[in-house]
Parts: sequence; structure tokens; C-alpha cells
Amino acid sequence: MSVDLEFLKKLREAFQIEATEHLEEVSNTLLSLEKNPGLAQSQASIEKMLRNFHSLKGSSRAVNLSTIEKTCQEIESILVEHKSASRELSANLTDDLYKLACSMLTCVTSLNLESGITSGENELEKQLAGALSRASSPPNLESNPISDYVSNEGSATSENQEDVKLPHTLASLSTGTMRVSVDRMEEIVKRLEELVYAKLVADQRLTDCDDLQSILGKWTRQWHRIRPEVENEAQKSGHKQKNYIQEFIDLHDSFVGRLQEKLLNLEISFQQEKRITHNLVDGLLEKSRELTMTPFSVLQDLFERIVRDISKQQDKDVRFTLTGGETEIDRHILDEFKEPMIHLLRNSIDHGIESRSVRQQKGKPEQSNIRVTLSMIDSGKVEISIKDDGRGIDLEKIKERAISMRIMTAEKAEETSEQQLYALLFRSSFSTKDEVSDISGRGIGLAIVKETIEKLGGQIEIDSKLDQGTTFRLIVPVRRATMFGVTAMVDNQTLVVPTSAIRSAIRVRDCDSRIVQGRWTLTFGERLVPMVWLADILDLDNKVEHEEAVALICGKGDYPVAILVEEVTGEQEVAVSPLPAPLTRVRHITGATLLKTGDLAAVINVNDVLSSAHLLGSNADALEARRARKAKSGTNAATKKILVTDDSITSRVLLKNILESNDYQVEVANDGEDAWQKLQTKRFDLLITDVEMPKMSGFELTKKVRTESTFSDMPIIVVTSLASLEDRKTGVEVGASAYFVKSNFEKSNLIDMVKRLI
Amino acid sequence: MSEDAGRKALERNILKHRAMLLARPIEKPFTPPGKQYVVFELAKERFACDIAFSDEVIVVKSILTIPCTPQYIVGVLSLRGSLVTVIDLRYFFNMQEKTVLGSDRALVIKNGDFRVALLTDDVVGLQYIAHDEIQSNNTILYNFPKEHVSGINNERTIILNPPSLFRQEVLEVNQ
Repeated sequence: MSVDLEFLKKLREAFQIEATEHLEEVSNTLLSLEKNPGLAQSQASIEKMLRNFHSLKGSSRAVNLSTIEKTCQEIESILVEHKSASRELSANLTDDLYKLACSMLTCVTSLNLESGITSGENELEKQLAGALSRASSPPNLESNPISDYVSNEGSATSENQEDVKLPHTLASLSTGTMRVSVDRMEEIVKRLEELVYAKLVADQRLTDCDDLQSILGKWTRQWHRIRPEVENEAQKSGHKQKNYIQEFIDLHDSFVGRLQEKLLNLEISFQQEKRITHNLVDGLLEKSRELTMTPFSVLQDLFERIVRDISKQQDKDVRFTLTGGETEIDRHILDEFKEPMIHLLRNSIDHGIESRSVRQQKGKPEQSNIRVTLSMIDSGKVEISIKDDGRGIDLEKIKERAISMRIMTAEKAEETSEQQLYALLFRSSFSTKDEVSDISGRGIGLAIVKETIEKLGGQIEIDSKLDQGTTFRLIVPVRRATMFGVTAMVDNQTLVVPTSAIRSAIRVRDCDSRIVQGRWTLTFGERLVPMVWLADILDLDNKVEHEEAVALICGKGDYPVAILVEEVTGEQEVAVSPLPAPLTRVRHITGATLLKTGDLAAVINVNDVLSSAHLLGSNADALEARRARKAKSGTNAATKKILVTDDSITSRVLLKNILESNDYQVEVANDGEDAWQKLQTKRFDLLITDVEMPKMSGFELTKKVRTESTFSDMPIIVVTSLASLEDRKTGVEVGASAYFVKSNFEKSNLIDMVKRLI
Repeated sequence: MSEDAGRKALERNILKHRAMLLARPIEKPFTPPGKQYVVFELAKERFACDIAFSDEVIVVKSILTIPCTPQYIVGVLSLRGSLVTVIDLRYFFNMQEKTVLGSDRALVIKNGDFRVALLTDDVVGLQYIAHDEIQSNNTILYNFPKEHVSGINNERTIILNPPSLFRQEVLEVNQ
């Protein structure tokens, strides 16, 4: 019973806050409508108020306030009527609504949290009746604007002055919540993250103290060994000297004793400090991360709209339901997987759900369902399943496709398990949809979905039954974890590599490293892994031979890469700050963080490094060749031939000029096909291509060169105005050696890139 | 008594009158219209930056170099807990003199929300430069981009144009 009471009390409290917000919004809307009347204004206001009244209706039902519920109901129907007739709200009606809102607010304010009784319900009912009778009678031209009431609030000219006075008492009463802008909150959370440094300092101090103790300990041990001898010697010398020495020895002993004691005290207090700091910071961080948790349902409207739009466009009847929308997830994570979710929904409608006629043939109900269900699973992870009742995934189709793309042989396809076949769907350029629509089917989407989810530390699975539907199951963490980073030395600089990106770290000399097909590789587990120097990627110098280096095995799933650093010095918690303006995005660098020592260090963007590691590796013996090239750096540029492909004459001429002014021999082509022809007849050292071109796009051309030509190892730079991540990825996937965005076209940059490649 | 008071009042009036006759306006020294500038040296050139855009002069202790950035980006430093990008104008202006810097002092520039620190050989101090002292079409400035430099004065101080030079669009690194 008392639990129920407690619950009801909480409910009422929540209602009071919510209702106040709605009613205040309504009165603001009405006030601004009164200031700027007009049909468009009026319609927008009605729309807004409908939402307010609708929610208010629902919540007042929950706390059993029937009068308010009824009032909302009546107002709603009046508003709906106005909306459908696209009629303007008359001044009288506006006024009545305002008064009603004020009375409701009085009601809400007077709500007794314990008993649930309000005062002023009768008053409200009377007013409602009056307003309704006025609303049904033809509009009266004589208006009675509300601003009169508001501006004359103090004076007692109006007879029902009391009714329209906004109750101000609630402002002081609402101790429950406070609205803070997200930006300000984020700012504070960000600052709090930097407190990690306080932890590091506390740790470091303790370590320093230990060091001091061990130094002193060493000294004392030595001294004890030598002390008898010193005393002996002193005995032999003269009386005066002996006294001196004895005095000094005594002084020394008490001095060292005091030092040891002090150090011990220090250590104890440092330990205490460390504990307190860790507790405080961890607690604060945890709480602050909870602050930015948002219920998943904030995305519901967006998803519903998307589902509606696409299904309409495709003439499908789809019902979208969301369960478990109250699950709270960190804002950043929510933001990150919003896109993948949209992609999966699109996929479901486009690929999964059949057209009406097909559904009829199959004897399925015409209306199809997409269900999104959230459920918390252990240790702060949430499972999100997106289930449709469409055609399901045809395993035979996947097999066919896999065979036709020469991913596997027919025999092997038969042996492959369902899950493994589904996994193929996540490979880029793998789409079973026969034609590409503008919604999906380009085969790149699922690859990116998977990557995004994995980046968040989550996973994705597919489950499907033919003609019954498909379920995508995402498992993602609900809150951000504290980030750890490995500190590594490269070229006398400490760099931080996020621990989450590293699968393993091994000393190169401890494993088998050799050149395979012109490329340095090492054996990790049972596979050959390409090796790259982090220093090479970052344009820094190497200090050690590769046998001395430490290999950080990074990379996802099937494509591990060994990134070589000179030394690994430790691991620590990091709070990454983005680089300050004007450094919007720097290749290979995510940001900076404070080290234990108080110095700043750059944090490596492993994703960037991995894509370039693949690129460097695609040229034979890149490691050696690059160094050799660096040595002679552009001395024989004159002999290098470059083919520039671009459909825009301006870009073509611009590129040609830049390259020619750097002593390269340049030929141009108008589009992909033209370029392909030219490539057949002549040998080029480098291909520079635009992406969007008629006949054959730059990506197609790149792919063609990589797969079909005899010069598949020719470096290719893709120059484009497209700067999206997806395009960058497409470029990498089809085999571009480098990617260059036109919008930040900078002459020297391009030349640098060219020099690096040939 | 009243006679005495009356005489005093009269005296005061006379003195007041005399003072008014003798009064002269305070002579103000004539100053041509101009602005205060922070003057600094870099590669044997003197540069001036409008004080309105100069936030502070700091002593640089350590700079974190950021790999994969253009040469004019020296790196970032932590200024009371927030990161600031350090810029070497010598590379940005393609100046020949590329020696080791003569000081550890940097000038922090603020243009609205945009903030960077400039490395200097020395921060000379504040100087008042009149508008008509600045020659804008001087051929000495041929190697500086016109939009980023407002001109040069008789002492061969190059006057920077902060609103044009210190902008995200101009200095941005976006790879």
C-alpha cells in the first residue's frame, strides 16, 4: 500500500512538472499568436498546441484528473476542427484558450501530492462550458485580447482577474528538475573527463615516492655495510677526529631515519590521496555520463517518419512499432548509431518487405510490420532488434552471388554455415538486390553499419527465415567506457594508441618476420600480417631496426595489420581533447591528451592509419621503396607520366598546370572510359581521377584498373568534391591509393601526395 | 555679523569672476587618428598586430608537434588547460629567413572565437601607429599576400590584417 502511495506521489510530482511545462508552452504560443496573427501562424500554433494538449490529456488520465483530461479533449477537438478547415483561431477563442490554460495551471499547481485532490476543478469546468458555448456560436468580431490581461495584471479592472493570473508559485515549487542546455552540460561533462589527469597525477606521485624510498633504501643498505669499517678507521685516528666522525655518524643516522619516516608518511598520505581522487573522479565521471543518457525513444519520431516516407514511396503498407524505447543510452552513442539504424530500416523496407501484390500471393496480410525492440542485457549493454516480416534472406542467392564474385567456390558454398553466409552481407560491394535503387542496394551500406557498430564496441548479427522475415540484432554499450591508451615512442615522441584498437602487442624479434611477395610481414597466430612503421605513416623518422621494434596488431576481423613502434612505454587512462582550431581534421590524429608526466601527447586515429597501411602495402615492397624514394625525392620526376581524368575542363587544366609546373608529364582524359582507352595504349606511372564523371565513374575506373588490367599496381589518386566518409571508404575499397578532396585543394599537398606515391 | 557674511560672499563672487576671466582651455597635444599595436619581430622583420586582436603574450614551455600537418602549424600547446594551435608565420608567408627562433615568447591572437598563438623572435612591445602612417601599396610587401597585410609604416613595420589572416578558412587543416 505504502509503495503504491509512494509511487503515486512520484507520479503526481512528475505530472505536475510536465503539465506546467505544457501549459506554459501553450500560453506562450497563444501570446505570440496574438501578437502576430495570421493563417499560417495560426496553423503552426494549432499544430504545436495539439501536441501539448494531447500529451497533457494522456498524462492527466494517468493521475486521474478527469476535468483536465476532459478539457484537453474538448480543446483538441476544437483545434482539430480549425486545423482541418484551415481556419484561423479567432481572437475570442484564443482568449478563451488562454484562460482555460491558466485555470488548468491553477488546478495543476494546487494538486495535493499525497491525496491527489486539486482545487479549482469546478471553476475550470464552468469556464470550459462557457468557452464551448462561445466556440459553437458564430465568431464575434468584438475581440478581447489577452495582452490586456497580461499587461494589466496588476490593476483590478478585469472582473475575473484572478483566473487569468499565471500562478507564479510553481516556479519556486519545481525543485524537481531544471532545464540546462545540452551544450552547457556537455561542456561540463567534457571538463569532468579531464579530471582523469588528476588520477594520473596521484598515481605518478605515488610512484615517485616509491622511487625515492628505494633510492634511500639502497643508500642505507650500503651504509650499513660500510659503517663498521668507517668506525674502525675512526678509532685508529686521533681523539679529536674520532669525536668528529662519531658525531657525524650519529647525525647522519638520525637524519636518514627522519627522512625514511617522512617518506613513509608521505607515501601513506599519497596512497590516501590516490584512493580519494580515484573514488571522487570515477564517481563524478560515472554520474556525469549518466547525465547525458537519453531515452532511445527520442529517435522514435524520426524513425517513424522515415518508415512512413519510404513505404509510401514504394507503395508498401508498413507499421512501425518500438518497444523498450525508455531504455537510456548515452547521447553520443545514440548519435553514432542513428545512421546505421536508419540504414537498416531502409534495408528492411527496400529489400525485406515485399510489394503488396507479392504479399497477397503469399497469403500474408497486406500490412507488414517492422518491430524495433530494445532490451537491456548484462553489464550495461543493450540489444536492439529490428525485425521485419518480409521475404527473409535467400541463402541461395547469397551463395550464387558469392560464387559469381569468386569469393568462394560452389563446393565451398555448400559447406559454409548460415551465419558465415550472412556475414558475407557485411562485406562491401555485396548486394543481393538485383538492381540498385536510390534507397539501398549499393552493397556498401551494411559494411559501414557493421563498422560503426564495431567502433562503438558493439556487434551485429543477422537471423532470417525465408518468407518469414529478417531480424538484425545489434548489441551496443549504453554508456561510454573510460578510454585507455598505450603510450608508444616514435621518433622521440610519445604517441598514444587507443588500447581498444590494439589486439595484441609483440616484439618483432620474437616472431617470424620476412618479406612475402615484396612486402614485410610477420606471422601472428597462424596468419601473415603486413607490417608498417607508424613513423612512415606519420612522416616521422625511425630510430630503430625493425627487429627491435614492437608490433601493435591492429585492425578488424580479417584484416589485421602490424603497426611498428620503437617502444611501448606503458598504458594509461586518457581523456582525448579534439585538436584546437584551425586543425579541423588532421590525418591519422584524433586529438591530444595529457600524459602522466603532464606533457601533451598526440592520440593516433587507428582507423586512418589502417586505411593508409593498406594503401602503402598495396605497392610492392612499399617499406623499402618508400625510403629509397625519400632519399632521392623527386630527382627523376621528369620521366614520370601521369594521367589526369576529370570531366570538368577547369579541374583538368588546373591539375595539369600544377603537375606540369612540377615537371611531371601529364595527359588528360575526359571520363573513365576515355581514361581506360588511354591506359590500354600507353604506360602511366600514376592515375589521378575525379569521381563523378559520365560514362564511367572514377570508382568504376579504379576498380577496373585494379581487377582487370596488367598494371593493377599503378598508384591511383581519387580527387573529388565528395568529402563524405562513405565516399572515402568506397575509394579505399575499390583500391584507390590516396584520396584527395577538392574543397581543400592545396597545391603543395597534392604534389606531396604525388611525390609520395611515385 | 551679517555684514561680515555679506562681504565674504561678495569677495567670493569677485574671485569667481576673476577666475572665469583667466580660465583657458587645457591644451591637448594633437594625436592623429590611429591605433595601438603589439609589435613583434620574426625573421628580422617587424610585424604589428592590432591590440584589439592580441590576447596576451605567453612564454612557451613545450609544444606538442602534430604529425601530418603543414609546416606553418608548429603544434599545439596547453594554455591554462585549453589547447591552442601554434603557428609559425615564416612558413605561412614563405619568408626566406628560417633560422632558430630567438625567443620563447608567443603572441596569442584572438579573432572572435578563433584563437591561435604566433611564434616570435621577440615581442618588442606596444606602439601607437597612426592610420596615415601606414602605406598600403608599398612594393616592399610584394612577397606577402595583400589581403593579409594592411601595409607598412616608415619604420618598416609590417602591419598585419588580423580579420583576414586569423580565420579558420585561411589557416584550416582539414584532411
